[in-house]
Amino acid sequence: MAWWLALFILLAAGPARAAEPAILAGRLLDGQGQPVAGAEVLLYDSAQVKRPADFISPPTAADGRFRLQVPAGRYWAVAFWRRAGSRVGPLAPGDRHSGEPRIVDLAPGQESAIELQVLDLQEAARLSQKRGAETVQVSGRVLDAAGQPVAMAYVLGHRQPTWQGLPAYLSPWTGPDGRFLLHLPAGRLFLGASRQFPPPAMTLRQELVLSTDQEELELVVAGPAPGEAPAAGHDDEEP
Amino acid sequence: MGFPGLLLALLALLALPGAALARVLAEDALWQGTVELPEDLLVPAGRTLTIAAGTQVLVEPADSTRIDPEYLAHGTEIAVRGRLRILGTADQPVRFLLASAGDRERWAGLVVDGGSLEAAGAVIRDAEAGVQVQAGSASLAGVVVEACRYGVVGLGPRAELTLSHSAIRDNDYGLLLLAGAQAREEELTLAGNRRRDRLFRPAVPVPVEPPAPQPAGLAERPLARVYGDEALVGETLWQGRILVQGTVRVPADSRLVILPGTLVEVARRDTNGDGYGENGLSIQGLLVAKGTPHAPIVFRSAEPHRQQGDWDAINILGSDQGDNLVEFCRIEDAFRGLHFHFSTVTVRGSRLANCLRGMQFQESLVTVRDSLFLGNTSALQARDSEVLLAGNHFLDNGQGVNVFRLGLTAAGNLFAGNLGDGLRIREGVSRLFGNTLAGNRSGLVMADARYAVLQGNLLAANHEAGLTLRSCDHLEVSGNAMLGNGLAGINLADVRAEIRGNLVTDNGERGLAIQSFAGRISGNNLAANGLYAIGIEASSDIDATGNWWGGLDPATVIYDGADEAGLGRVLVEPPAPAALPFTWPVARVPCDSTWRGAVRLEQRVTVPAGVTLTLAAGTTVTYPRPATLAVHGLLAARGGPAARIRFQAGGEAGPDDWDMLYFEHGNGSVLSEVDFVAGSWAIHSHLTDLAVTGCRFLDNRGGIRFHGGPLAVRGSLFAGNGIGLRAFRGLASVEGSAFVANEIGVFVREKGKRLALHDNNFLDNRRYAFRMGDFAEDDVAAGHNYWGAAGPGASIFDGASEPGIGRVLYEPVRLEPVAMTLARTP
Repeated sequence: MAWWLALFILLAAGPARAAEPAILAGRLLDGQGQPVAGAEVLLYDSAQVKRPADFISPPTAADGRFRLQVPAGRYWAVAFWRRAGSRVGPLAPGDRHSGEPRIVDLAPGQESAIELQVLDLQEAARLSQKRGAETVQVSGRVLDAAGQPVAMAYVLGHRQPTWQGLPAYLSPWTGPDGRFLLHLPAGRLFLGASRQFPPPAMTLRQELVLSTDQEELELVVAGPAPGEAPAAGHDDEEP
Repeated sequence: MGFPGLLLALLALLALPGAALARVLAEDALWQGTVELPEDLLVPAGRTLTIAAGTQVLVEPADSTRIDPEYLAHGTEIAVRGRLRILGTADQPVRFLLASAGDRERWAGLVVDGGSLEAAGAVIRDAEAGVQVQAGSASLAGVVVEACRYGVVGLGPRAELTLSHSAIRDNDYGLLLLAGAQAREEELTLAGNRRRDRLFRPAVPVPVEPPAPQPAGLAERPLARVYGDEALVGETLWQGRILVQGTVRVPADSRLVILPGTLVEVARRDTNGDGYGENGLSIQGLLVAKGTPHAPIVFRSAEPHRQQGDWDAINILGSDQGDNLVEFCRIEDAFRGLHFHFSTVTVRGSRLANCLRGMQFQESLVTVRDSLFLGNTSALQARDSEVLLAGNHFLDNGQGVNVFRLGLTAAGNLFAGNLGDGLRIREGVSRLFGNTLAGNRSGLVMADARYAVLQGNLLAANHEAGLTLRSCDHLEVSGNAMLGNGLAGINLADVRAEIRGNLVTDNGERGLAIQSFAGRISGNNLAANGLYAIGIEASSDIDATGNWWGGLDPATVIYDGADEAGLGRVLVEPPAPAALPFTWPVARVPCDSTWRGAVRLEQRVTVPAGVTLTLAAGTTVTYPRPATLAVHGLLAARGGPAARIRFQAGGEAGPDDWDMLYFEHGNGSVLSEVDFVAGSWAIHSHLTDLAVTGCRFLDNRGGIRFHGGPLAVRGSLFAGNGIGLRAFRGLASVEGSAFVANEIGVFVREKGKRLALHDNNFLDNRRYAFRMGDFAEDDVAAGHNYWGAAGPGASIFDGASEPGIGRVLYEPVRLEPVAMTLARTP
């Protein structure tokens, strides 16, 4: 009831337009072309759509259709579908949005049709991929022999288990959580970890054939940190 | 060529009506007649632009102009690093006007950054800031600044303004002197500015750990190699000391690896006379600069007197087939420290300082962690990229971070003391968690953005607003603290958002200033803001139910349609009946701050040296899990008889030796009318001059545990604790207090000769009223105390009980208890 009252207020508060109303009708579809029920179409009287809408449709029916009577004129239309049923606030993960506003010109006394596609919020908002198209992202942790994360270590990768000079691929130093992230070309690679840079001569024992991103890889680094001081004793509880 | 001759030579080019202008003033110049300014103009160091009487400067406004580091503003500007002389008169003033009459846009204005402006007889209008000085001097005589957003702005202690016989009027804001800027005023008219005629804000100290010093002996290192203009093909390894005297190029499929401890010095070469060096690195292959904390790699100017812009940049272009690494590097004195396009770059543990711009990039995949951007003209500018910023410090730059259309995740960063905005975001999708923005001109400005999440950030003591949102859609703003900002905690214009669970207190004018808003404002604490908790300029109603209004009638702290016809109403019913629990979102209190309401601590929170944390009367600090408020600065907690402050534990059980309040050199701290309830140690104090008056310590493992001092306890109650007061090598006076029903009232661990306890009551303590420890060899002065009807007797354990330890010198004994105003329950 309150919802319809709000709609009424919105309608009543709408900008002055031609007296004869127009009809906007249409259908909302999801990414697979299936009708979306319970969505709303919001109409704005300017391209500025980051504000309260001038008109809001009733929720779409089971067939995704809606129908809205408004004063004739030019409008900018967007559509939302919310999973949780909330009507304000930010869209939540899983909610859908129609993206950039669609301009619709509604003539007096006539009915115009529109079809909008509402997509998952994250998909709609996703920016263009900045990563090199042929690289694979490999992430995980560097651990010591006891399975504890190692800070100030890094992962190195090479096409062969050994190398001359320096290995081809080097990750950043790890932080206290031992985590690393490395961008590598697809294909067969050998990986290892070190705490020294440049790395000492070693044989890379972890063999991977990379075609997709890999997560939670664990690599063990051998030996103590260079120049590592002996562990400090615990202070007495005083003072 | 001398100046007169130069004038004649340039006159023909520059004094013609409608003459278009170059971006950088290449020679000294004179303007007269009508001059069009279609784009930004830089008056570089060493150059003078003179504008003759009667000149009209017609400016084309632009929303977004040059992104090059030498320009400071977003609109069309005249940037002055050299000298700008305006020689108007009362009869023939120099006028700065918009080229298009009736245009609602503004131009940026005159921006002095390291140069000087001498202006007489001028009219400056329609600018974002008529005159802005952030380094250098501006002298205005007989100048009118009007119809601007800001009339005259001084930013920072290096801004010197002299304002005489001038008028700053009919702007939104008149004269702003921020972050310690000073102005000499004589016959200055400041009137009719719509929002404020004057705003003065001193610099806000935000103490941080000092940056590590430069590695020793850099300059003495032997030179390993000198490079000119050349390409490094294949794999190149740098170590030792490298001198770059040209542009060193690393072609595609090649790699430059720089070992820890390497010093790279770049010689200055300025062939185009713009004041900035052109030498540097150009990477199209891969860069691996892998320093370590103890052996950083240093990139800096090779000049004996190193200056900003001595060299160009580490440029990386189209390098996205591997990871470019810039780790534990120090990049100084550059035009742009790091500059890259279409690349994958990780920066970690590095310092970018004294550059015109620390970092600039676009179309890249970027991680920047644990790095320091210090004292650059602008810290970081980026667009169209995917970026993680984590644990970085952006300190004392001209501009902080300015990004456009990023997929941005920013967590745990500190943006402080920047003369412009701490963080400015336009478009893109942003997720901001646990960042601190303090003491900037504005904290966070976000425009034209969607789906952003701002969660658990602190925006404090920024000179204007903490958070400004313009034209944003579908935002979540939750769990943030907006404290003590100069004007508003939150500015909203054309925004749809969920604003919930924030702490918005002690802002200079408005908690929330709303021009247009759709969404909900709920579950926030809105208290002690200068003018209003919420002030709206919108005609639509605002949903603001379930907020706490500082214990006041909401109508008294709201400006809406009830105050001005035509405005919407702020719908507050039902309000929250009491302060809503707010979890302090970051691990530090970065600058002087006040807590009020109900603050929860879920982690160790530090008040660093140089910072004062004030707890307002009636504040409650709760510990849902063991956590500590660690005070190295100053804590001022003064409750009142009807509004006591309360520290209370509850929730998770934890180790039995955590401290609610920990002091270390927190000298001058004051606790009065404060209750500590059910904690482990209520107070653990080291070497701190601390005054405790009228406090209650109830049912804690321990009340006060201290080392050193001096500690002064007056009129306090220690009841139901394991130990009321524990002294270790302490200096303290304790008087007018009661130790009741503790396991042990007072325990002296060691060296008690500097303790004095008198006129206290010791009653019903279960094991001992007073116990000397096994290493407490000194006697303790404890005369004139009341020990109960039975006297001290067995309630004292000291040298009389165990030879070799000190005595409690309890004589003379009070025969009547001290009158106490504090009871265990009110």
